[in-house]
Amino acid sequence: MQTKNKQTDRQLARAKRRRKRRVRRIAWRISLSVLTLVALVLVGLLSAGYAAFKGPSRSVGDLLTVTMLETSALKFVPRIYYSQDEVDAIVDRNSLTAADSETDTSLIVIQKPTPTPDPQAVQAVAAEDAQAIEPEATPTPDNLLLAEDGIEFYDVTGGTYKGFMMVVQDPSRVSVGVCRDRFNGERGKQLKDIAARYDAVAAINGGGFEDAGGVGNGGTPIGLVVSEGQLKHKGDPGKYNITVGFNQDNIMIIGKKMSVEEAKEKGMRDAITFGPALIVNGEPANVSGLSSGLNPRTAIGQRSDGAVLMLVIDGRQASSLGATYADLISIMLDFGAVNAVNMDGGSSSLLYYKGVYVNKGVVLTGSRNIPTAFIVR
Amino acid sequence: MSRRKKKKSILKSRFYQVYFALVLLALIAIAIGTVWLNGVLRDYESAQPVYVAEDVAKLFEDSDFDALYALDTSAQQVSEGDKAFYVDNMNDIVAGKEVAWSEAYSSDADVRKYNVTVGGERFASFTLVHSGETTKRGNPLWTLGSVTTNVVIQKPEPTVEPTPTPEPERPLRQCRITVPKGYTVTVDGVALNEENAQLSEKNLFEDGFLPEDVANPVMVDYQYATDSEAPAVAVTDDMGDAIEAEQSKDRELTWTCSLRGNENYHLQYGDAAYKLGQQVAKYISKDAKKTKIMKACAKDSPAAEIFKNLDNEFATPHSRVSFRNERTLDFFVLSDRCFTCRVCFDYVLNTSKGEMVYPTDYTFCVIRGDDGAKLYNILIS
Repeated sequence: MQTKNKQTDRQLARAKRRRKRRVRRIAWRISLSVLTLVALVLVGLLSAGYAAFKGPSRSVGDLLTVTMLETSALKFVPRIYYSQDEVDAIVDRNSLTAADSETDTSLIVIQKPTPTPDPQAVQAVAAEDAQAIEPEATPTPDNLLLAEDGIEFYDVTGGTYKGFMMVVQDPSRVSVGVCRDRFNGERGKQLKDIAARYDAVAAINGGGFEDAGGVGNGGTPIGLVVSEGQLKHKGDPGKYNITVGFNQDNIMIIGKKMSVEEAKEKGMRDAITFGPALIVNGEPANVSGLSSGLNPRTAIGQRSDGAVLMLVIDGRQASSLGATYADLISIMLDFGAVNAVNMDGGSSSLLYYKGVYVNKGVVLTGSRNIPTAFIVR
Repeated sequence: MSRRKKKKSILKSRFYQVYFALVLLALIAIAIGTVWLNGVLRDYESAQPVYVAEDVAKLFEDSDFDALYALDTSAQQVSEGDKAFYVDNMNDIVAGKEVAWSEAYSSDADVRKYNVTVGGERFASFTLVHSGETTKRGNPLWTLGSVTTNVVIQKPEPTVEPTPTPEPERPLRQCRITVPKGYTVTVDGVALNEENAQLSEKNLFEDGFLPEDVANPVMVDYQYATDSEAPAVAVTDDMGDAIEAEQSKDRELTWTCSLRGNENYHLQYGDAAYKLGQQVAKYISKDAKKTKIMKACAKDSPAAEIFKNLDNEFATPHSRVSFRNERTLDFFVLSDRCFTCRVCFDYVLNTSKGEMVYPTDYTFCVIRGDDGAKLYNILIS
């Protein structure tokens, strides 16, 4: 009996040990498979990356490099394949150089709104002239999506992008909105919240902000910020050193490294800093190579009649890879811009109108937190 | 378990067999994918317009304006078709300066525009357009669209010749040319005929001057209106040889071309004709007797009749006679036996009042017979 029990115990122990070994084996195999899969994916990506960056197409290598350099999360990727000198050379040959000229305010003539005709005067004219005169029909552009209350929306499409152009007829309605009265390092606000703060009917994201590692809280802008005649922020703008805004005459002014004193001199009522300047005094910037990568974009401009042009382009999506600076110049010129500046893009690019985001942003939560925006009341 | 046993069990294990097979397949797929991707990228790169732009820009960098002349849409206009002028001027503009190029804004997505600068100044621009062809993988290829230079070449103004003052209209004048019939006359290169000139014919000698069996040469008188200051008259005889027409000193725009004289007759009969002329002149001035003259005349000829009746009673008294400027000319052979000639001289009479000079011009008609040459008729002018 005892012998039988002993045998059973030993069998049980052996079975237990076998079970443990099997579990370990299965776990090892799963881990091996997963690791191998990850390694193979990495090898595949690195091989594809090598072909793209260092392969036969310099154009593709340049495009990927400048595109990734403009993002927060993928900035490091080009450095896997290129030395810093090579990266700098790529950036140099794919850039944009705007004219340094001073904004010529005489090029903008704000159109006065057409007065409502007096019904009695209309009847008197009709009595004098029995012949009915048909008003000349203005052709509606094919890409006009909506026109109401002095604001027009246009569909903008290109080879690699889709987006929207919002045209605000009265420039006095456009100003700079900020996430809070004082920038104290607290988190920024989503675009719709900034619009709501001013009871604005429409808005686009504005200038740049401190965003180390791409995970900034959007609470601290860079460079000069003036909102409704009040200085909200100043400081070294760094790379994006173009200040754009409106003076007391509602004319868009563009300045390079604009100081507080200069802003006062020019009578700036609202201003934001980013860049580069795309069009100055009707002259497009000089484009070199690709000019930039393909990314979501935001830009603001003004026509000769004073109407403000607000452009937002979707990107980083299958349906819209993004636009380059050259694309923005092309679009702005097509809409008649005399002056235009690039605003913060990427995951910040959003167009807000009456409670909804008109474009498809890249942020899953809807909007990044940002410090400034151009709003339309 | 020993290592050997473990190795054997790994190789036998279905899991590892599948695992290694999948890893191998994945690596092969990655390799194939990379090769394929390289092909796609190579094809894409080959269709990039920048390489076409580089080729065009090289023409500017190499100052190959010879080739650019054909491409530059403005070249013909600015250089007025003068290629050498275009090339020289372009070379002058570019010489020693840095040539650079960059892509510029183009409103058309299917057109790429590039600017060329020289020494920092805008010099030219060119466009690239789709050529209609594609690569193997369907990427559209680019080709040169147009080239336009932005410089202004001032072609020197062509020297304008001053408009010549038109000559005042000259009135038409009649010129008169008399030539033997069958001769051709041209005035300033225009051959005269019935259509452009008035023609009239007349006999060279008056009727009866020549023997009846001798044809009287016919002279054709051309009257031609010309506004030429100095019309050039040229005459060719019936043999096609040029013959000089003598312009009259007394009458304006009048030429006469006589029959071709016979030099042999001149040599043979010249002296005799001259001597006869002298005799006639002396007889008229009562310095010679008629007998010598009558001997020279043919029997029953008009000349004999003339001299028989010639009155010399009113000859001017003189002490001496002499002859000057004597010449014999116009020996025209009219037939085998008849010829005419002229004897001219200045007949000088020394009178009490001094020398009196009588220009004398005799035309003799001479017939030749068995008894030699005899004077048939004489014309005294």
